[in-house]
Amino acid sequence: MKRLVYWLFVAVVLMFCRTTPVQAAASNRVLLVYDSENLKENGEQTIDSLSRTLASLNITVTVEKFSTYRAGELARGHFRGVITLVNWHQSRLTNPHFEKDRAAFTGKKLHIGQNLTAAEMQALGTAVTLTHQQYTLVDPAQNSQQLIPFTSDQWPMFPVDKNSVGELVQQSTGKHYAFGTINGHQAYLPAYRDTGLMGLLGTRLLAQFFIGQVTAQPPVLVLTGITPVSDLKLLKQTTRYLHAQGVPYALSATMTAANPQLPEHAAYLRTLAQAQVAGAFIFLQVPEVYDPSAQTATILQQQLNAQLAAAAQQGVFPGAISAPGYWMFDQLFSQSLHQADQNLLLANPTNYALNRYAPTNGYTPSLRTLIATPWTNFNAVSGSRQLTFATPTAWTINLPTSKKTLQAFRQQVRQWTDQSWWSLSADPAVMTVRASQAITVSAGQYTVAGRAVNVGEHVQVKKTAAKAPQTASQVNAFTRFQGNILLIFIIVALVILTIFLLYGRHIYRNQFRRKGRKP
Amino acid sequence: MKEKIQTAGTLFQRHCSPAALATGVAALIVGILLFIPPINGYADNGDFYRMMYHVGLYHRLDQPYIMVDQMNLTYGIMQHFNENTAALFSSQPLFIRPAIWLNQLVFSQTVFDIRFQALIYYVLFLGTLYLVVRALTTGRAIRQYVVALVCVFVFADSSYTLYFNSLFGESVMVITGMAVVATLLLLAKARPGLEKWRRGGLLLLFTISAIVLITVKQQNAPLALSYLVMALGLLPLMTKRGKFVVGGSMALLLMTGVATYALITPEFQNINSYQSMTRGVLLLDKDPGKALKDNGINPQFALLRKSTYYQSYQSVNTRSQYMQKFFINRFDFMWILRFYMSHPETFGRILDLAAKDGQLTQVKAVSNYPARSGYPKQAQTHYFTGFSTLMGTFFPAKFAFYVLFVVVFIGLYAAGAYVGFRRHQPWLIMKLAIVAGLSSIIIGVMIISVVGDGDADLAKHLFMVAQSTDWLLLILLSDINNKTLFHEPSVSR
Repeated sequence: MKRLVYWLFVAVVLMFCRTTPVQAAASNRVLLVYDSENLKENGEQTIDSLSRTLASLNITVTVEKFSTYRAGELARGHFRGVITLVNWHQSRLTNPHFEKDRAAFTGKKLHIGQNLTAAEMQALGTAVTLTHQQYTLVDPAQNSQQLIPFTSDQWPMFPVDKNSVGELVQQSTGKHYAFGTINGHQAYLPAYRDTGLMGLLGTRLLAQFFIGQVTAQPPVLVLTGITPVSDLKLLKQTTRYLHAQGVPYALSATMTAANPQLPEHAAYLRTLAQAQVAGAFIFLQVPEVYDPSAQTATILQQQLNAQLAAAAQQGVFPGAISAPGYWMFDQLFSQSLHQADQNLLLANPTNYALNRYAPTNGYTPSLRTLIATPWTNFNAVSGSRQLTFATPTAWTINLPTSKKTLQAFRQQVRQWTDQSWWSLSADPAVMTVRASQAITVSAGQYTVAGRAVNVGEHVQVKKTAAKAPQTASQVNAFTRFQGNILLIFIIVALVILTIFLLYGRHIYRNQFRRKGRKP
Repeated sequence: MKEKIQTAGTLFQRHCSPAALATGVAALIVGILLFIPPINGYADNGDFYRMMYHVGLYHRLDQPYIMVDQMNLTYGIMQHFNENTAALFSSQPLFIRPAIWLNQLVFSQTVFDIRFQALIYYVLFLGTLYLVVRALTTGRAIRQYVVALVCVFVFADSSYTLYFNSLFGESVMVITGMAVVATLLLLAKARPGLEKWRRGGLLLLFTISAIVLITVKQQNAPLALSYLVMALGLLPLMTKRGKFVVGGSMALLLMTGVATYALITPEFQNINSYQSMTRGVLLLDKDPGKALKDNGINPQFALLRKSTYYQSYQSVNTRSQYMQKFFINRFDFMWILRFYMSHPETFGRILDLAAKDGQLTQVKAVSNYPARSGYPKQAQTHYFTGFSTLMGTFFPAKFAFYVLFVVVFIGLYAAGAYVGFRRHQPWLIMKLAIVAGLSSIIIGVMIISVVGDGDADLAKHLFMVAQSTDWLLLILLSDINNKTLFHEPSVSR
């Protein structure tokens, strides 16, 4: 009996001690865990672009650092998958809790970068470790390639199979290796950058691995850097050129509700309206926020309402909102993103500190999110010039600021004459921007607060109650009045004094002047 | 009874000079403001960082750091190597560091209480006030005591002394601005019999005060010229050797001014350029777009009207290359000056805007009370603010009035100086130099503020205008009281 009790006890203990597999949830949530921001190598941009890409795939992303990961988070978060991003492989940073949880995790596991663990290697198959070499990245599906410089010394490479995404061709030997490797629930990408073919293939792997299906859609051309202080002549020349070339495009433009009485305010909106009438789609770009506060969400909401009202008065109807990537990870900023069904996520600005008021590490994307990637980065891709993407992608290019850059812009357009474009103006999806007067767009048809409008049509939007006129207090009025009176009084007194002075001097001198002739 | 009062009065007069009375009264009034709870001072408007990190202070990690709404009484003291370089060139750390040392000596190695900063300024302020009253009173007649109390009413006004419980550079300006003029007046009053070391000491104090004042804030760089004008008045007083020393001191002042101007960082240059346009030229011109277009700048920039460089929720990234290349680099100080010269109407309007703020010395944008003091957010104290309230309310807010004001003063003292030339009385000439210097500060600071930074932060930029106006009024009061407008003082002590 004693022995039976003993064995029962051992069995129960063993049952509890056994690592319980962390069950992956069927949700669309992915945990992205990285080792370091590696600011020296601009590693924070990799985290930003990866987060934006995941958002564009409609994945709810949670970003976490190795050092802040706590045991059990992977299980508690009901994630469909986990991404391990090694941004600074020399640091060999690790977190045993994370390693343990990941090993037990039954969902999708993607490793990006070096320092693959033995378990990961085993799950991926047989690898060949290669030393520093020059590679060409090839996309056999689109027949395009790009020469990429690899800087690191050792890379595990996996053979090409039906599940691999893209190929790396070793220049010296001509041997082909897989760029993205998928083996069941484990996947591997040697590096992730959002530019060129590496971004295109990386995104395809993310789509294939986490979504299970890969769409092939052409990019949207988006002109960025459009602000109320842009050179309107160049803006007109640029949009006319695109129109003449038959290239559908969108504008990511900031707006202002300040100084509406100035003719330049109407001139800017008129130029945008002309572009929209000619077929452009407009993203309302969020303003620059240097020091967010508790009022940020309210201020942004008021601005959105005022800017959309001012725009509608000039016949401009933005159909989506564009913002820098870091806006995803602030509770107040992300409210602005969710004002629209359709977002364009731009790269983060680099010339000021990205302050957040209510930081968060998770983001659930809106109905549709486009990831912005610079168009010119694809110039290095050779072969096919008809690229398609696995996720809604915007190719961005800055509005020319001089004749010289306009020339370069035209040259860029001419280089890509074969490229087909996704026209958001013709897109049938119903997308809404929620403001005091909601704007809805579908296949180029706009409605404002439920009423169909024509682009370019001046629409009066109900204004919020005007502020009560400021009345000067009685003291203020008195001091203003007193200021003028004193001024006049002193001037008059000075004039009189001067007259007296001159007259007195005259009298004084006359005292010493002899009157009449000497006797 | 009457006799008793008279005896007490005589005893008081014998043992307490007007200067000592003023110092004592001010010590009490300012002491209550700065050290007796509820502690009063100015809250951080976002500018404190310019000094904080450089001198080794930081926001305490275990406590919320409140901006604008409430004062922060304590700061953390950095314990390890401080890698922060100075955000700008300033003499202010000369006053903050001793406060930190004192704090570490008697209070805490890790937590800095702002009251130690106030203590340093408090002691310096009382010493300076003593000099001020010595300079403005002669003898111990009752009316001299009245002047002494007026000096307290003017200079110990809380709108000035609140700065002591803050990291604003104006606190240094309060003290040095008083010291510069007081030392000059004392030098002018000094009989030839005055010991050489005292004379030398006063000259040294003048030079140091002026240099500290010029270097404490970059906007003070042009004040070097005004103090040069004042120092010119010293020349007739001096022996040949003395003239050489004064000449050296003047050269030093000039160099300090030039150095302060040259050391303005590119970031501050950008801020000033941007705001001089958006909060100056564009602010009051009827057709700002046309004004830009006529001068070869994209008229769309008119839409930046009223904005500031660091303003959040702007449609434009003010630090972008585009802004730098097509806006900020397209104009400079001379461009703006030329614009105002060719648009006198706009210039007049913006100068009137400056005149409006000329006497508003109490910073209204920030709170005067610390957190947990029981006062609401952004609460302002009214304790001993009589003089600043009086001036802010009743001093005519017209630039033309300021011009007339200085014209009348210069005219009055020019007449005195004329008499002084004829009678060989350097005191009268010296006073003209001081009055001319103070007048140039009043007019110059207004013009430089609007040309250099538009109407942004006007009330703080015009700080020296208010103090110079106070000085002019006090000098006149003292001269009427002592009958020294056109005569040398009969007794000089």
